[in-house]
Amino acid sequence: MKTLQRFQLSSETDTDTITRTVTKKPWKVIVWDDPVTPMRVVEVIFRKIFGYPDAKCTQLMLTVHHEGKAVVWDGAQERAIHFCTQLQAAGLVASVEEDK
Amino acid sequence: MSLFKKKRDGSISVNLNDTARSFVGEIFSQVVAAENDPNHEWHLSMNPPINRAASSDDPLATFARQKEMASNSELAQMTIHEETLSTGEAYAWMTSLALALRAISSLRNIDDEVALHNADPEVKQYIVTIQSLLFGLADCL
Repeated sequence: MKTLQRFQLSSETDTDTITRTVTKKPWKVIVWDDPVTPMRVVEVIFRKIFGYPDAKCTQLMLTVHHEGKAVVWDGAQERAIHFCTQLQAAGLVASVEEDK
Repeated sequence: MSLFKKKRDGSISVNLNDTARSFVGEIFSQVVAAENDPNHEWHLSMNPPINRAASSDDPLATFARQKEMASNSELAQMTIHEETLSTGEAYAWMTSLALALRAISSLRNIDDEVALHNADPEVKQYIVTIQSLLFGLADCL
């Protein structure tokens, strides 16, 4: 994830501005497999929370089911936490993790 | 007849008899109680860590999750006697049932297919009943 930061330089004229790109490590939202939540329910929750198309919801659900977990979103920490709390409130096993 | 049916206007009809409605209503009451009572046996499983690597969770995130859970389960509880649900209400029913399901499975250490297979028959029946309600709701959403 890239964000633009502006730095004001103190100089006699005080008019110089440098724009520099800072690369931050993204945060991942992970959904973990559980043996009781029906797959169809997982798909519906993904569609409702992320607004993903049906095919992507199905693909993510299958990844969770077959591999035990799936990264369902990555990006800024605040949004990752927001999505994670929504997934947990919907009954899924979810967590956030900083990308290393 | 299916338990839930999506109507042409987008709303969802609830075809549960009194016994089934009472069963569902009891689950919603338990979810509401578990959110509010730290001593409720479901409370811990409904409040898992957000960041497993951190020593403690962000209190704002925890509060946001509790608020979301409360609004869903209270909405589900308020609409338990309705014959027709909006999609938002049906989603609240589905997530409240899913929370209950996770709490029960966590409490009984049902963390994989083998544990589910070997679970107490009464618990397994309870889980299957909730799952059938979840299937019905998910098909309408």
